[in-house]
Amino acid sequence: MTSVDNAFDDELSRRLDLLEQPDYDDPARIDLAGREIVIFLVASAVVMLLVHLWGY
Amino acid sequence: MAGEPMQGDDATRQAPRKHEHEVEGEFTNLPLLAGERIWGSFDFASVMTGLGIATWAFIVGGATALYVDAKAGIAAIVIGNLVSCVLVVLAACIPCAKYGMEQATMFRSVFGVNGARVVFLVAVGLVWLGWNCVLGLMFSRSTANVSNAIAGTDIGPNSLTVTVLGLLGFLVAWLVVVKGPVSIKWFNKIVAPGLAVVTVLLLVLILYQRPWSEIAAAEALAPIGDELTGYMLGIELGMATGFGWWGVIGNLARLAKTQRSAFYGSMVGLFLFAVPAYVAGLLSALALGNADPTAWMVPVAGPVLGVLALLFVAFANVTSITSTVYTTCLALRLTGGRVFHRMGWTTITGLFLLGPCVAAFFPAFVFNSIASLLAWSAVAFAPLVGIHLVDFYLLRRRQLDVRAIYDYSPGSPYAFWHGWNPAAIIALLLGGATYFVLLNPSTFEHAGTFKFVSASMPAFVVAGTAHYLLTKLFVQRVGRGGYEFAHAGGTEPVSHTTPGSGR
Repeated sequence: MTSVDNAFDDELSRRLDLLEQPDYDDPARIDLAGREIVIFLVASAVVMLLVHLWGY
Repeated sequence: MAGEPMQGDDATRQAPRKHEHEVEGEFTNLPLLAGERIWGSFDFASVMTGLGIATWAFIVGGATALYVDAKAGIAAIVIGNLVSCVLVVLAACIPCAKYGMEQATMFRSVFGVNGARVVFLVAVGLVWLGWNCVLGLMFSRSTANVSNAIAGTDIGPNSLTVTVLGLLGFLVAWLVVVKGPVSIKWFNKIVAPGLAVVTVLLLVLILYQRPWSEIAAAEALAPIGDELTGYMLGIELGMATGFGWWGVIGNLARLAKTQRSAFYGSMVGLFLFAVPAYVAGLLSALALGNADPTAWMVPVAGPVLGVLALLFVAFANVTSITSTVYTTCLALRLTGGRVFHRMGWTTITGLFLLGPCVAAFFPAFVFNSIASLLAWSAVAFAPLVGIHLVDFYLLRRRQLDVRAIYDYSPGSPYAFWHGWNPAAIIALLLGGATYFVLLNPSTFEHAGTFKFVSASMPAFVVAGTAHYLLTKLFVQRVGRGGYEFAHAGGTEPVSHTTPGSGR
């Protein structure tokens, strides 16, 4: 293994340890609410229906 | 000291800097930390707008004009792009945004280490190598049209000057990409708002040249079959475009600060601001006889406004090149083996652009390959999106074991069978076969049912369903794939081995 591989592995290990800390805080880990996704899908379906009725 | 846990921003600032870009999250497939996510909602929407709007949008819109008239074409563009963009953003952006992982790396949880490598090398690497050839050609032809309009030159679409301009475009893009996501962000922040304005301007100019009543009465340029078939072909073109984003948007989303900004930023850029560009191509093809606005912009808008708008349109292609080269080279670092993994970022991005630079010497060939590239990419990407969605949302309940994804040992949860997940592979093949049964991507010959169901959606559904059933009936039953992690609530890491370096 080269020094690049070693440096990469060391950094990977450091990051994984950080990510598994109980107090690690990342707003990106908060999932989009299922309800929000469903609402968006329903709204999209309505838009598609309306534009279909208008255009075809 | 390596391996000791550190806290918050201190950890990020104290990352080792011995190897430039080889150990920085944004240039490798290392998982990003919270402090490294540098794109807020506006930043991300700008990047996605810069990605979504390029001359290809006008060309695809123009291709839609072959099969449908203006109203049906607008409806087809909206429907095709909306349904595919929502699905592809949920599949590719959300998982990468959540875990800050590079997409080909994260995809090991679906296809296994070796399966993910092959999928990304073939389906993503080759396809986006092709699209970058197209983007370079579009930039060079656009700038040639600017020169012809204001300087009175007579640069032909396949001339050597076009080749040189294409090389110049790749050089500009490369200089932005080597600096990484920060420069990509600023480049798009400057160009993207202008692109959105120019797109609206294009629509206004087209309607100024021809009244809406005249445009609406114009017939499709080369209608095929009956009206419903033409309409579905228009929708299929939109879906092929939307599903085609799958391979590149994940690696951009990992830089978003939240899943919400990743989701809505993508929908704003890839749909809300991009659709007017497709519609502009559609209407300009029907009304003015040419889908490419760079061919008529200056005579219509005048020298000052026209040239300004043209320059934005030309640079729209460069913004797309920067984003796609960044994301594809990240994946290449993982899938290309040790050689690429150890390669410097400057070198790998330069090597990737060599292919498009060579293609710049064959502009006619590149232009004539656009339709095939679009159609063939949908054969793979629609099923891949279906598989990815089912795996992440239904089978894994949005939980991934990050440490296990970097674990290459045979006992790793995501090892499947020697790095291959046969369930996903079979599902992909079934989805691709479904597409072919319904629509030939080269000739557009189609089955009778195509006009009712399209080709991409059945391929998406078949692949997703097959993956779900095969996983439930076989993979999970023999304890492969790490699916028990999701059922344990995602709180107990299953892997206890030391993860290895990317290969």
